[in-house]
Amino acid sequence: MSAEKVIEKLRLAVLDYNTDEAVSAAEEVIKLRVDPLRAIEDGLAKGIREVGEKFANGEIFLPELIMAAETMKKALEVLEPELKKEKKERKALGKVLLGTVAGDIHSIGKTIVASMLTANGFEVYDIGEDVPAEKFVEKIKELKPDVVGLSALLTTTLPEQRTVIETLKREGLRDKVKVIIGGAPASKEWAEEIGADGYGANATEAVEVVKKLLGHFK
Amino acid sequence: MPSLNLLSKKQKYALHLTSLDILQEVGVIVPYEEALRKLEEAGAEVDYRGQLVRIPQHLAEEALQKTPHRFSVYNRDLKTRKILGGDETHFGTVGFATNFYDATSRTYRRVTVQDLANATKIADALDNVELYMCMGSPMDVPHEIVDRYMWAIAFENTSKPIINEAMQKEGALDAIEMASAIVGGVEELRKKPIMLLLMSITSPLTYDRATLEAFIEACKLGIPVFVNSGPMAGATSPVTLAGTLTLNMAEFISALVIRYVVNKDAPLIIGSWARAIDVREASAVLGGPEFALLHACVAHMAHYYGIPSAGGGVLSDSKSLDAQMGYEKALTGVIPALAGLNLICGMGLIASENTMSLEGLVIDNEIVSMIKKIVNGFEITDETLALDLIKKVGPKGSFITERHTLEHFRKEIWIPKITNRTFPEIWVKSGAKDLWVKAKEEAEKILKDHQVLPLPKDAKDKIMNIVKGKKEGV
Repeated sequence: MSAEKVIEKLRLAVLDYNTDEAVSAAEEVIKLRVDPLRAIEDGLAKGIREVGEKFANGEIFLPELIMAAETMKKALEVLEPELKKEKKERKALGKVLLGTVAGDIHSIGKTIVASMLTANGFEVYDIGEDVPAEKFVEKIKELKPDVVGLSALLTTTLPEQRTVIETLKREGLRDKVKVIIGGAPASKEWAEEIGADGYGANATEAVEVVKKLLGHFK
Repeated sequence: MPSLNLLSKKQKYALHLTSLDILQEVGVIVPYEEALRKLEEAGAEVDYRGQLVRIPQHLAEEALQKTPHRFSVYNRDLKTRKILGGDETHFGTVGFATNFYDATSRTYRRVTVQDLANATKIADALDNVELYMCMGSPMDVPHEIVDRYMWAIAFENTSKPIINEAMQKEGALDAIEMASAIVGGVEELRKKPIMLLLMSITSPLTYDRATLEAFIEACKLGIPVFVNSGPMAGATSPVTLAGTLTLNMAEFISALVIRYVVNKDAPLIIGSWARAIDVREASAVLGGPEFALLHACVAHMAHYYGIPSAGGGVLSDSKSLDAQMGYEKALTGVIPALAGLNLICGMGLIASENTMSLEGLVIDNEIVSMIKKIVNGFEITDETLALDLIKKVGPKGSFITERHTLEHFRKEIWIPKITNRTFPEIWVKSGAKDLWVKAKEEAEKILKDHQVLPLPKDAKDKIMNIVKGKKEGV
């Protein structure tokens, strides 16, 4: 198979939400010694951008968007070690770290935001739920994200968003990342009150906020 | 009597068996050692490291069988009582909005203590609000103790039975202390509960430690618990409604098992908010047809098990008091009501339970009144068949002057409070007002004139001290 063919296979796999196809194409990329960066950019990223547009147009819906992001994720899992080996790095629009704060086990909103960000060209790390401030610090130091997203679904765990921001200040990390918050009880006023850089009322807004914060305008 | 039947006996059995399989083979996460120990003693398979509990069929069915079929809750007057369970269907407000909708300016703002007090007072005055779930989470008080404020505002502004969230043990105990101060002791409260403690399971199949502690404490004390779970089809449960339903029921059965191993006498009602996820907005859909179907089926399963059931209904995702609100509230209300859900909570909030509306509450009262009329049906007796009357009046006759009409009309015909039936010209001449305007006038009248049953002074002081004490601690 030629490089073009296998890259096209990747793109179509994302458009078809076909994880098996995507993984097999990713393995082909490695076998054929095709540039993994090119494969990601022209195959996966291209495919996911088209999916993102279709979703924005109302042609497809959330389950399809999420499945496409999952497909891309699985292919990336195969290709990323190869990237590392060749000492190359993805040209994503930015790196975003997401987590639900301590004491809170809700995850769906965050999962959807993760999928949307992926579909919009960002590199996303979801560090899970019930994440204490110290763990955010640890992961920020390790992964060096551009944006950190804090999710809280309960009025009782909402204050944790403030705690995380205070902790980042203490650790001298606050000015190294942009912090955005989300979740049903959160609001723009609360974001301002606790010194967050942004707030999104839903996943679409979250993506817009991240784009703006990192200087990517439509 | 429930008159809607969406599930055959075979289907109910299939749902039941699947719930049992979920409990036995998938299990639930119970992050609380005391609960894990009790469950293991009772025969559950416990993985202490993963905090995963697998519940065998015999324990699940024993717990189901031994759950109280019904229990009573009381108004603060300790005379007015509502039975939860069996064939009665009651209606209540729902919580816990953080937004307030001003219908006049069509704007949104955050809920304040005053908003909540006003809404509660209106709920107290409206006949069709039978139980009061704290409608809002005031945003002008410290977040950490917002539940204490919610209880205090509720006890002050309504004398109806109150449902509020107990998110940690301390909060539950404070609420119990407040209520005990009103009725004269925790033993009195247990005998005549004036409140229920709401506790949420996080779908799928996961408990939260803090709420578990509160749940178990409430069970130990015999204070009624309202166990809520709202899986989102396609997000936190299978997108197929049957899968969502069976998962939801499995979660509830696990709560019944916990209740059973803690205190066999503790009253408990399951409360389902099972819903679909909107595939464009990723928001929870509370006003959609799936919601109506799911809650009718929860009612069916609860009757199958003989346990008290509650759930969302009379709900809407609309952001204003418009036609969408009307049809969503009506359909999500009448369907579970016809299926015999014992407690339907939804009045007072719009925008998927995010937003409080005073006018909306008055409109919901009207909707529920109409639903009750439909659910109650009509009598068929010799008197109501009225053969003798029909003979008397005969062809071309009139019934309007008959004594039979006078004697029966109030029982037979629904008399609305705010629903408009005037002729078009009159409606135009009076200003062509929409329903919400009438509702607003009604709400203002209630706020001006209605008298809430006053709290005994020592209880009022005790409640204020509890809130103040917590405020100082924050």
